[in-house]
Amino acid sequence: MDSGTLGKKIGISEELIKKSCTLSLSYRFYNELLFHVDNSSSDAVFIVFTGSWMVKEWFSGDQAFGETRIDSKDWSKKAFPSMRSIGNDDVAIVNQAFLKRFELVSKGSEFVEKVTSAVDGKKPIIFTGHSSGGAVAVLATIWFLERQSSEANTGTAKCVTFGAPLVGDYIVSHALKREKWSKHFIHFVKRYDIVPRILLAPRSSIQQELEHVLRYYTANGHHDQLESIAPDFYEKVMRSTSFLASHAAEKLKRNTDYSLLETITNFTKPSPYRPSGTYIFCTGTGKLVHLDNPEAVLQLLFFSCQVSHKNEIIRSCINAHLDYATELERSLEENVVYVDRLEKLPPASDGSALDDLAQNARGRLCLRAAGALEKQKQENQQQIIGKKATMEKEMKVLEEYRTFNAQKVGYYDAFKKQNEERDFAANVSRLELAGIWDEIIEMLKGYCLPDEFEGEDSWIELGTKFRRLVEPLDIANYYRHAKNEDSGAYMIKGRPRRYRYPQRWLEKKKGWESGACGESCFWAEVEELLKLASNDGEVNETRAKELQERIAKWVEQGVAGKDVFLEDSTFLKLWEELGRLKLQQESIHTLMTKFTKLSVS
Amino acid sequence: MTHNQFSSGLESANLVVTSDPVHQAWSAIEKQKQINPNAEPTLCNVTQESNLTIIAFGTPLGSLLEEEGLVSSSALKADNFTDFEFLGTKSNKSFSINQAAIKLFRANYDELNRKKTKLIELSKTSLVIITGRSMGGSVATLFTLWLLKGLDLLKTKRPLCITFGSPLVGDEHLRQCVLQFTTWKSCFLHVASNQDPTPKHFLTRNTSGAYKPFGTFLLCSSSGCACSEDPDLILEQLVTTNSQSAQNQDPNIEFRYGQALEDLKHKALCKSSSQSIERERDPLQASIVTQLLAIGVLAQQQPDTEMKNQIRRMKKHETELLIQKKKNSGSDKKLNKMKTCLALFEWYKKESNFLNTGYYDMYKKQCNPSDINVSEYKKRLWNFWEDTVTEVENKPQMEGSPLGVRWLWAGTNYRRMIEPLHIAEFYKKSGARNYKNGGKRPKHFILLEQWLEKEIKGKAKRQMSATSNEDSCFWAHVEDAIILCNLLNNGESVTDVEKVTYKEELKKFEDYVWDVIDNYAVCPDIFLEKGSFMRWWKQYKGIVGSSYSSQLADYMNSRSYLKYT
Repeated sequence: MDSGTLGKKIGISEELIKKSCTLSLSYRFYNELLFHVDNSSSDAVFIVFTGSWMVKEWFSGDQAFGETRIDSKDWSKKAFPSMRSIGNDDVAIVNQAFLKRFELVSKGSEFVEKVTSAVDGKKPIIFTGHSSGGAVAVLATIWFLERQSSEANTGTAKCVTFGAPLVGDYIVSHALKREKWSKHFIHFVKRYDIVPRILLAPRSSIQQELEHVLRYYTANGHHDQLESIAPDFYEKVMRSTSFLASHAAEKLKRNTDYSLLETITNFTKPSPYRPSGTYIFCTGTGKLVHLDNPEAVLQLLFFSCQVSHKNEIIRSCINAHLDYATELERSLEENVVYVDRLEKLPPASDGSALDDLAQNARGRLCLRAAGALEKQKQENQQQIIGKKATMEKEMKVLEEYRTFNAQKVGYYDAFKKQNEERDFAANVSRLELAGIWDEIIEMLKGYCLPDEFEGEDSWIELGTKFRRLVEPLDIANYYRHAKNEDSGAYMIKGRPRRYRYPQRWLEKKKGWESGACGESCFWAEVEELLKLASNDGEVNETRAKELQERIAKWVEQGVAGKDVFLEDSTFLKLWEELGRLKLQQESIHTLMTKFTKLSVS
Repeated sequence: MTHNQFSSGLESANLVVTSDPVHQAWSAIEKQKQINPNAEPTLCNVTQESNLTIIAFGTPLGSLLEEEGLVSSSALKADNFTDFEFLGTKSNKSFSINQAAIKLFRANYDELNRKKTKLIELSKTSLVIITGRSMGGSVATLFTLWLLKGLDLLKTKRPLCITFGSPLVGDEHLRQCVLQFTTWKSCFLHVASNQDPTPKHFLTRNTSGAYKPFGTFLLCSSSGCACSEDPDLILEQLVTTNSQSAQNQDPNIEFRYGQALEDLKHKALCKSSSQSIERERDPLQASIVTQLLAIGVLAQQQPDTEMKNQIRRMKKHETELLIQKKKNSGSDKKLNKMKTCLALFEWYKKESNFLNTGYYDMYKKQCNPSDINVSEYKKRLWNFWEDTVTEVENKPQMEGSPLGVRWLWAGTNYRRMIEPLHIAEFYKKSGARNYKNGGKRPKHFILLEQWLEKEIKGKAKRQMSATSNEDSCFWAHVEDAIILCNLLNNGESVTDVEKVTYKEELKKFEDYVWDVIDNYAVCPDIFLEKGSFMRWWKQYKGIVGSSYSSQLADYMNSRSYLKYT
């Protein structure tokens, strides 16, 4: 654990945090305003999101927790292209009501304009909000970051929230880490503030109480019924929080594959929401505790809000939400405690500030397990990096194999024929590489690698190189063994994940649509069309046209080899058939002439 | 490096008490008692609410006074009761069930059978909880096993069986049988308080060591609760209960689980400062100590020697589980290694063709230096697949292929490539005959073939020749046919009746060959000049005469096979 002033560590000064807090609190009840831009500071532009205080503005739609897929609407699909896991292609889930409110914000005439002028003004932008305003600020910040083309532009934007409810699922947290945006999000949570936990309970269980609580907040502290509903409300929200935290911790700690947990969660569904970004817990004793491990934050959301003597604290759990200014004023002067190296946290309390939040052994073991998971992910990555040398060695073998065949039949067809010993050696190299990549993909499937992995250029490059070099061999092997007759077309039944994933990585990086980087698998389409053409002579015109256009494009770009056009290649067989069917494309013709001339001269 | 291993008993327990099912189950039991205050006509009651169905078993009066002994599955079979036979596996043929529970089950068989049919239907649209307290829970457990067999768990959600203070139902063998079904153990939750004597009801001196629990136990005490699947800890805990609540021995005084669960539910949200531990540095040890504190086994913070042994045993148990988990996740990696091994072998196959013979004949001759390497590959592949198949076979068989599709195809490739080598070794011995049906074919080849047949039904005709013979016993058939030809050519020692039989058999083989060629199901290398198949053809042609005409004869005589690809 480390300590020091906050400003340096998180890249935003105490002054700006205080100002964010003041603005967020003063605008929280200006419901109709949606947002407000404050230009009064010379150091930053503040975009403040106002709160919404009706139950239907927290829970909407017919899902138990008011959740929806972030791509459920056309505009949101375009607005948040990064909010998914890339290889697995899991799309983020967010709160529908907050997404709706952000839609209103972003579609208003002023918002884009004001953000643009703030960017032009070269001052850092701070998106901020209290309570549900904070949740909308999160979406606005993601939206902003998605629109910035380079890291230089995203560098100074910040999102600062106070007592905000959770807004998205673990995919949001995963994607923020991958895009290296996590550090832009700073969430202040008072340990006894119930609001950041509210969305962990299903709407049906707390609807009535929530209505009272929200009304109590807007009436600013006067509501008769609060006394009677507060204990129930606290208990319901905390039970759901406890259920979710145990659910997460059980997975972290258990030593088996199958457990009772899977059966139980069929009966009681845990909330999909998870923390993301950086959290700063206010202990109530003048200290601030900084954490950026989302699993650990989830555990603390539960453990820090446990109470020992009931009634009084339960009442203050509701009130705690309203006043962030006093505590921040006091704590920001103090040193902040940075919690890291959680994987080494001793099970018994050690007198640090973390003791204020989770002092019992169970809580501390949960935090340690969260740290251990992160550590394990790092170790898994190290293990793969250790195999890079083997990967490069085997790829070199295959590159030489490709070059060797480039003047003759092309390595695709040489491999398909398997006539020479070197073809068999190539197959062994292919399988060595497949083994390593399958291991990587298996880890990605279980989210067992660091979240950043799929965003790292070195892996995207290596994956692309591997895919372009080796996938043709997989296709050759597939059609050599006529596996299409046993199971179906390669692209539908046979394509391994080790090629699907790296293709998605590159498409994501380039911002291209899905399928745009199919340069490594066009051979499969060649084989399928050839099969159709030679069997009954009927080939779909669009399919033939599209394939030829794409091959021409890829060969010209140099991402597919010109050995496609060699005399004995499978493509030439298809080309002849297409000639017979009068489906040949001019673009291919031109290229062929060009390459033949080259080789002649 | 810091060693980070944990145990999740407190989390599971917390999950259970903060979720709905356990509370819903208990209120269904309470309701069942109200419907039947005298516990008379029905053993169980089904309630349905939106998409939840609960079947609650009552405890007939006096059912706890029944026999404490175990009855073996073979005794049940002898008595014509075979409903639980399906649990038996290759390695665990016999198991035992508590006599009282099985008696209650059989006495209500027809009613239970109707309920089972109903629940199988309902489970398509509804979640199912099966519950009961005391002996009712024991019957609920048996009923759930019975129900699980009837469910397709790929299409329906797993049912949940929750018992309260129920005596154990079976022995170690039954436990092993249930564990063979990977997901089944996660369907059982047994709630047992250390203040309730009924769970250890049958654990008397006579039966000591005979009963073994399965599933997850929620062990409760006045200081908290923890979940465990560790049979030794559970038994230990039930035995400790024995001494602690000696004053509360009357089994007819029911322990109030409803109240206990409510207390635990509230406790889950409260800060418990008493559970902070001072000395433990190792996270697994600390996890276990906190669990023992919660279930009231450990009262003070300093464990005594006996308790230290208990902790050591629990650590060992958790570590074993983790090793198994790692083993499971490593199996795909091993499969990839085996694929590489098979790829290395492919070159041998190709090499043989340069000698104008197939790899089958080359291997049989054993005169090529690469034969030694091939024997090595064969041994590695063989060991891997024999183990894999045996492991899968020992699991209870339900519908569908027991290997996943990916594994099945990998196994099929192995069988088609490597079994010919084994056949070659087999026919090298003099007098060897009838490999396939003479009881000599290794078990794992037979099973791999059977599983594939189950998997592919009504496959379309091939359009390209196979790269290895689809029938991995093709060469055995060829060898048998050559033996027949030799017998016929030896003339004198063969009787006329035998001659007719042999010729008939050869004709059958001829038809078989034509069928596989016509279907492109054999590899072109069978037609290589120096191979066994061509040797057979020459001999056969001598027997049937050169004017003989048939689809195969015409094909061979016209040398059409040169175009076979």
